[in-house]
Amino acid sequence: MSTVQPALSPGGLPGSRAVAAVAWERLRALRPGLTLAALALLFILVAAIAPSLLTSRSPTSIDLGATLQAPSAHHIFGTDQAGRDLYARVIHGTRQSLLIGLGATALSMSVAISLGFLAGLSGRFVDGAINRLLEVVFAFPVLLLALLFVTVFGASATTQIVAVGIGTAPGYARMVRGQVLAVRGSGYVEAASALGHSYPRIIRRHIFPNAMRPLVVVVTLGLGQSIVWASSLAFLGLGVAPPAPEWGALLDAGRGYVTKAWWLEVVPGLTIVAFALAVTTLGRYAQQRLEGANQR
Amino acid sequence: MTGTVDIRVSTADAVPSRASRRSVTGTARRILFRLANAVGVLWAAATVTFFIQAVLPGDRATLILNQETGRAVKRTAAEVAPINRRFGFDDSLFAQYLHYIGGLTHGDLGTSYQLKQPVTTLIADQVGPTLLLTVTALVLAWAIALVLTIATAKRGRIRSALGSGFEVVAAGLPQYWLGVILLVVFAINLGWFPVEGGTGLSGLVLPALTLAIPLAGFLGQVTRDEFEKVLDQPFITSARARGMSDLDVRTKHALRHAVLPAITLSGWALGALFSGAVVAELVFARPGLGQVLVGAASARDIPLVSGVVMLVAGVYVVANLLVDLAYGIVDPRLKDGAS
Amino acid sequence: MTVELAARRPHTSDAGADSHGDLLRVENLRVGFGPPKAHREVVKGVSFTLAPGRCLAIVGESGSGKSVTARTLVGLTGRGSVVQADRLELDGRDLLGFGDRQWRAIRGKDVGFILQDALVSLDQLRPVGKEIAEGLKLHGAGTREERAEKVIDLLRQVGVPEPELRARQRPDELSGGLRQRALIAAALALDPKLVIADEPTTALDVTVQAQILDLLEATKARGKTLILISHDLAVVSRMADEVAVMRDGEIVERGDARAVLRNPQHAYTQALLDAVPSAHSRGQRLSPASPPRVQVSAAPTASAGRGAGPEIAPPVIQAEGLTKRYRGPDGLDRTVVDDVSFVLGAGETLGVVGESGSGKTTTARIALALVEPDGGQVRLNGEAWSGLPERQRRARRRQITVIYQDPLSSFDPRWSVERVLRDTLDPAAYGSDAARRQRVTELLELVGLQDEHRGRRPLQLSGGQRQRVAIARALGPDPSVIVCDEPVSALDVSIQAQVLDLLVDLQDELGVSYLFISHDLGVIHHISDRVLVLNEGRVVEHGDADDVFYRPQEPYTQRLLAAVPLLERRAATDPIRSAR
Repeated sequence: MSTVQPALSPGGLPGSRAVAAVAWERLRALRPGLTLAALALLFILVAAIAPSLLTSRSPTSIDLGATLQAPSAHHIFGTDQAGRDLYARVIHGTRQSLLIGLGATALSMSVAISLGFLAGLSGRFVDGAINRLLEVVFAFPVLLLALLFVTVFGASATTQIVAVGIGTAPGYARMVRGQVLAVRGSGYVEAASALGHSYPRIIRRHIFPNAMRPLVVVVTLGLGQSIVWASSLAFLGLGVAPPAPEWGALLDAGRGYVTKAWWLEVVPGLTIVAFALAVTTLGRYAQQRLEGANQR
Repeated sequence: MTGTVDIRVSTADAVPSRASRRSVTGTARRILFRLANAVGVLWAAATVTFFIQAVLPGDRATLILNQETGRAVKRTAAEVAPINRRFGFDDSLFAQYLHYIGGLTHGDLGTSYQLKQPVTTLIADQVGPTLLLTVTALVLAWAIALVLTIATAKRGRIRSALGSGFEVVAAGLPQYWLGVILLVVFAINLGWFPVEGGTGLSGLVLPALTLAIPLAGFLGQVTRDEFEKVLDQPFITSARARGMSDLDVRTKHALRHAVLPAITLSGWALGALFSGAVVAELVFARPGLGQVLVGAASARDIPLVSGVVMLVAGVYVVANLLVDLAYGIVDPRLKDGAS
Repeated sequence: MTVELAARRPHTSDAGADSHGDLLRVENLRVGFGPPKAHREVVKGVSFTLAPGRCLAIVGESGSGKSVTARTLVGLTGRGSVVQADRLELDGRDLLGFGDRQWRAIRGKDVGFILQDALVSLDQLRPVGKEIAEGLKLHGAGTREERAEKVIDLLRQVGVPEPELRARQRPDELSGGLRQRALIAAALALDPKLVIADEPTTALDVTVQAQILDLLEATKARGKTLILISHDLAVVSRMADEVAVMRDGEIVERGDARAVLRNPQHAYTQALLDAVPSAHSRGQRLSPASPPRVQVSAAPTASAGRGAGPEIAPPVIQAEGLTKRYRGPDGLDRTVVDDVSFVLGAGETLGVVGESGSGKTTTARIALALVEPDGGQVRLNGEAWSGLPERQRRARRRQITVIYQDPLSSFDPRWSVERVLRDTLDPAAYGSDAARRQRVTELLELVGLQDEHRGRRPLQLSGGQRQRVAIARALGPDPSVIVCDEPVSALDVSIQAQVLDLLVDLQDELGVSYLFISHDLGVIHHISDRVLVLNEGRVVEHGDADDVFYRPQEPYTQRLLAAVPLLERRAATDPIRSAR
């Protein structure tokens, strides 16, 4: 609410404001962010499924005559210290990166959904115990927990997945629990019990589907986060061992060359940022749609 | 316009007219409860940390010997025996656990496998710069988030979209990448800040920004959501109807309500900043826990890593206690009032 | 009773003659929202004038534009609004073209604004004293000490006891009545000439409402000009000099309050007046939109209801000595329901009335066996009901169903109306898909919904339609009793009238019993055969509806009834109670 009164005189909106408003509406109608996000995601998916469609170069062919070249028409993302084409390496690294992200998200969500439903549907004792457990895991920041895992189990893709999956689970578990409790306390669940339906039936027909609905959005947001966390771990040199062209591993490899060859660090990072932003944008859009559908 | 009288609330129907005596004991009880809870969380965190160490695949003595010699080979019983004795690996798991917890109560975090020094000493030497960095980043993040919210939330669609757009992007930025970009642009190309290891104020700026910007995006999103909700509340209309200006309504009424959810997140944020500091210290070659930690992790120096993890868990717990107190100041309503 | 009320109001028939001395002049006011393409006009050419010291009531249902009209006068219609008028003058000053700074100078100082429900209309994080002092500070009135003194003064003026203590308390520490007083004190702080009150008593209990109305009346008596926005004609009839009835952004009727309320010229005003349920409307239809059903059946159960003695009907619910305690946040037990007993006969309506915290909703939940009583027992259709294991109760739950106040939250957002209704059917009785479909059609017809509503989700329905679906759901299992928990409290008066008419028809047709919970004494008197008055968990009085309402024995009931603002009746339609 604002105190601005645009026009108290007959005649409607002042001209320039009206033009700006119309232009803004048009721009909004196109949804440039959403379109861009969808395109970026499509590109990344193709890269993951069929990387050879997007590049003919090999990600591992060494060309010692063209080391550390800046981005150019020939090597659009530049080359690394061994003369390998960075664009090809990013494209071919997509699948592995996505798999790590998906794995971590899947693990995280399964843990979160199991614990969240268990806590939300059980009595005070189980709920309290799970809450305490989540609080304890919350005390470990994701990256530190991951570091501890790597220290104990050694660096590998599996460790990355488990560490990120476990680390991000408590936040989602609390969210699921909150959803379950909200639905469980809702008027329609009470209405169903007043009709004489059994508790398992109510869980199956009301609580489960309604509590799961918002998770569709959470999964997309979580996927972006997982990839960022996994790549952070890789950046610290604790990810998959090179020469696998995974995004995080590229970051790790480029770290020593920041002053000489910025693109080795900036480009893989940009790819991850683009992916994370694309899924976030789509996730938020889905969220708005969902909330809109609930309010209409 | 219709009345919404007497919704289905059966327990809290009575008029809240409580005596002040009760609220004092209530506060004391709440603080005591929180303290007990904090100790409980710390104890549980220590237990988790201990057992993660204990489930280590393979033999810890072998690991240590391999670290010392730099070769991964199978060790004979005679070789590992002195190591086992020195680190107490021969004892039962329960005895080791008691020893670990006992050590924690007087600040003993064990001995580093790699550096052969008490972990507490190693951490104490390095924690200063990291603490400075995280606290600076937290303050900076709050400042950015607040200015952004006040300046853009519900101020016309274009301004709001710019503000929330910035927040979405900022919150999604990985710290390492932001750090590299800041380093490349402001330190290497423009030369405004030292490229490496600046210990003074100028060396603090870029690392602190690296940590603060994503956090500001996150806090900003939370605050903005709340801020927009609060601005639609009737009491805001009441304030405007008294003749209050828009800026005053925002800063004197709405802001106090809007920061509440972000305040509850600040304890968690401080913990997260500590782990983010590891990245920032590495990018900017800053001294601090980060360097120690990454070295220890790749060398699989378990006591050192778990020592740092325990420290951060402690920071999280203490920060949350402080947050709890701060919350009580900003929101004097009793939180356990109508549960 | 009518005579008494009329005598209380000063005669004001000569008002309006001195139009040059008007405090407020509004001509052809139009307010719209949204961008040019999707422009939506909510106030469509409203005109009125108001002389100093008089009270104008703007009355209308939701969406009528009454609140927006009021907000125009303080320039708070909000972002994206377009306000146009031929004339908009306050005290001789032209408000058209006012900038932010000019508006701010007026707000609080010349116009005081009081909103509904002080709990959300005052900043909950600050003491109320600070809120009251805020207006003084903004307009530069006095030093800090003087302002503090003035705050205490103002609180005393609006009848707040212990003002020094109250000024330091936050809204959530005050009772509903006290904080509404504090909100009024804040609006009066700078002694504005015009006070606008937007639904000032809507969320309050009836006794508190009476106190707040007294206070507003006293304010008017001190020479303030008052604009009262309300959906409640009875509230308005008590103190307004003039009434403007709004619908869809237009004033359909305006004039002297007594004339408008006694002899309405416009059909909408008439309908609105007829829709108000009260003692007078008993046995009559409230809404012209719901004509009596053709098949007014002469089922024997139905005739046992209205007017007949309670002992004739066989009991459907017998509740004896119900007691329920809850542990409060302070760890002390609070007895919410205390030794409540009642009997509900077949085909009759038992009204349970009380203010908030009286335990009426908990009583309803015990009757539904959603809450187990700590003491006492409930029998349903002659068999034990409370205290049984849920497993034994489940099959019999079809005998007792419920209608809630807020139908929206009682529907699964994903489910269509059809699915909601099918869910209520006994699979044993409706085995085939065709039978279930047929029954859903039947239910929709019963509650006056069309076949097209089948596939809709409750979110896509209007409030009235939604409540009809809720009624259909309650009828689905063919129950012997329906617990109605404030079923019309969230509805506009004309929709409320339709829903009440429908409930009466359904009882006549199906012989179902109602346990009817409401805070609204008019609604209760209108619909109930017998009445149970609750206060602080105890039964204060019970008996035949007319006995309780016309000849209350207990002081509490008498106080409660005295607090209800009554609508003056038109002589022409004074009810002759028709025996059904």
